Amino acid sequence: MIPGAAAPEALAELTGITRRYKQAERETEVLRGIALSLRRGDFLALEGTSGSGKSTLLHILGLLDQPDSGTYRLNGHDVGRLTDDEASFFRNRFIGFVFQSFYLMPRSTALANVLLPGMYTGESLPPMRRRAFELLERVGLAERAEHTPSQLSGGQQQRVSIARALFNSPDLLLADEPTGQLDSATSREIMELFQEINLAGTTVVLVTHDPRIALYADRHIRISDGLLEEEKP
Amino acid sequence: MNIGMCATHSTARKTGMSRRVWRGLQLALSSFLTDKLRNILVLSAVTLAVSALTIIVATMEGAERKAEELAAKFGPTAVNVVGGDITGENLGRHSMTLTWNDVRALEAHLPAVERVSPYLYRLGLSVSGNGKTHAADALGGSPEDHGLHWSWPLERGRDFTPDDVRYARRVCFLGSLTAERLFGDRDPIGSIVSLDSIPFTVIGVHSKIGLAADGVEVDDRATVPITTMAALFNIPRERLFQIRVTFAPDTPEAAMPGHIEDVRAVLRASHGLTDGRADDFILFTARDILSFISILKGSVVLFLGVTVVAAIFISGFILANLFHVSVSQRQREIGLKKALGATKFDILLQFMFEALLLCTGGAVLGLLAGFCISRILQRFELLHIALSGFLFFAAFAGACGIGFIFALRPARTAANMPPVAALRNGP
Repeated sequence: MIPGAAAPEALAELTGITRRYKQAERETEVLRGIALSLRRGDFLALEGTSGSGKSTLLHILGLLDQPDSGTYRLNGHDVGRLTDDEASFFRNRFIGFVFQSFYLMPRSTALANVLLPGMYTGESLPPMRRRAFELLERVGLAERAEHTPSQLSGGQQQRVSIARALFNSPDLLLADEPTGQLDSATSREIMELFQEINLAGTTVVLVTHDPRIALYADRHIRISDGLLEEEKP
Repeated sequence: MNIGMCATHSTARKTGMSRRVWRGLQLALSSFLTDKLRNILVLSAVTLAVSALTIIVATMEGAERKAEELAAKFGPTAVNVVGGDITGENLGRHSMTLTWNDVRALEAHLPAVERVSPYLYRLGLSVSGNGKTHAADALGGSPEDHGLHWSWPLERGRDFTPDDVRYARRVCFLGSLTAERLFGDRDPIGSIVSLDSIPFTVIGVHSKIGLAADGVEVDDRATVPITTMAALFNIPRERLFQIRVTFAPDTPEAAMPGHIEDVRAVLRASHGLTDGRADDFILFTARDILSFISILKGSVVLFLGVTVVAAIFISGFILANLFHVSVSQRQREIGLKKALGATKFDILLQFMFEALLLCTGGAVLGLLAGFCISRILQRFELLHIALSGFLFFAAFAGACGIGFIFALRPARTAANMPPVAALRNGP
């Protein structure tokens, strides 16, 4: 949470969220009635074991997936039942993603990777290039702007993907095991960067199974068998 | 979703639409290089299809121009009359039904006629000269001004004069092939040659026509004055091989069918053919050449058209299959782009642009390959080609058609991919 912020307002409100998957004639209920409220400026760590449903919840939060039932309000809008293109629009404007495997375009430069979300906005290229460069400066990679991912270390690639997630100034930054492929020193640097981003006002939701990484967040919620456990203070 | 947000969303999307289409092209350019094998295979397939299309269209246009050239050479106001039924018999072996009486009847009864030229002809001729002997395909006999009246100008030398014909002089023209066989690059004018052991002075060389029928080369012959041929060579004197009836050059095209019917009526009367009996001669005009070529062209176009359509479909199926493979290999890229805000339309556009870029590249390469192959075929005189704007249009339209039709389905598959599944299933 931003220190000193007055009466934090709700950015995202989820109530009664369920999600079932059908696998080989067997239906599995991955989320069983999730209720979660995210305030602006939160830094939330969503912890849980593999298969607990934390990634599914993150996908629903990021509008990459839709719940079978329940309501989801983002920025005051009901986003629980969007068409594909409406969801694309919301993701583009309000949500940033950081993935465990970085998912950078292998042949594009760091700069081109960062401005990729801008390619779907209709904004003109020169200001986008300037903004992408500023973001690379912010994550300490200005001098690597013209390098391709194969010329960057794992930590640098994750910084590029964080800069990309910030490109459209999202309200909500979602990170799925962002340090899963990094050594402990680099993981620390990346988590400090997330803290810095959060302090600047962006709401961050972090999915992790590593308690040391979760410590960087200021809210901790554990998910187990598709249900949220009581929030730790 | 709330209505206000919907409106903002759709306005924002519409204002940047042209820019987003341009972005689609930029993204296609930056990502289509990732799939080199697909690109090489699609380019090769489209190149092959377009080169086949290029050769075929160039050949057809070349054939049409050649036909027009032949028709122009034949003369738009001329009618050639051949005796008997040459459609059922070999050239030179058909029944000789034309006589000098027909020539006189045509001259007497058709005032619009400018000239009636008889022609004698026989297959096979031994020609010796310049120390060589050559078995030429034919010997012809013609009145004066042969080149002018048979629309077959001389390449070199002079035509027969009225005196050459009146005094049955031993002068001759050689066909271009005959002259080349005997004299090579040397000018044969003024040389003495023996035609079936009878000495003649060469006064001219026919221009090259380059046609052959039943193994008889038009350019491999000697032509002598008609009176000389009748006097010195063993042929039936009263029987003519052909008569050429020429109307004034300014005769309107619309008047020609009437004139042709007049020629037919005079000849039928001269041959004593009553109403129920069939003609014992055949009339040929420039229009017959064009219609013959167009009939021929119609069947060739059908055959070659099927070949081109097959080539286009094969390359289209190759493209479709490779794009399906490409889409499934690039699921993570598709999922990522959707996660970052790409709509279905953005993804569809990117793959369609990739296909169109490859097909346009294939069209350029196909046109180049087609031109080169056509040139080679033309150099060996295997076919006549003509290059035109239509050809460029056909090649590009064909290639873009392949890209558009066959890439649509894989592009839609990519566009409809759910982002989570695409990210999870990516390689």
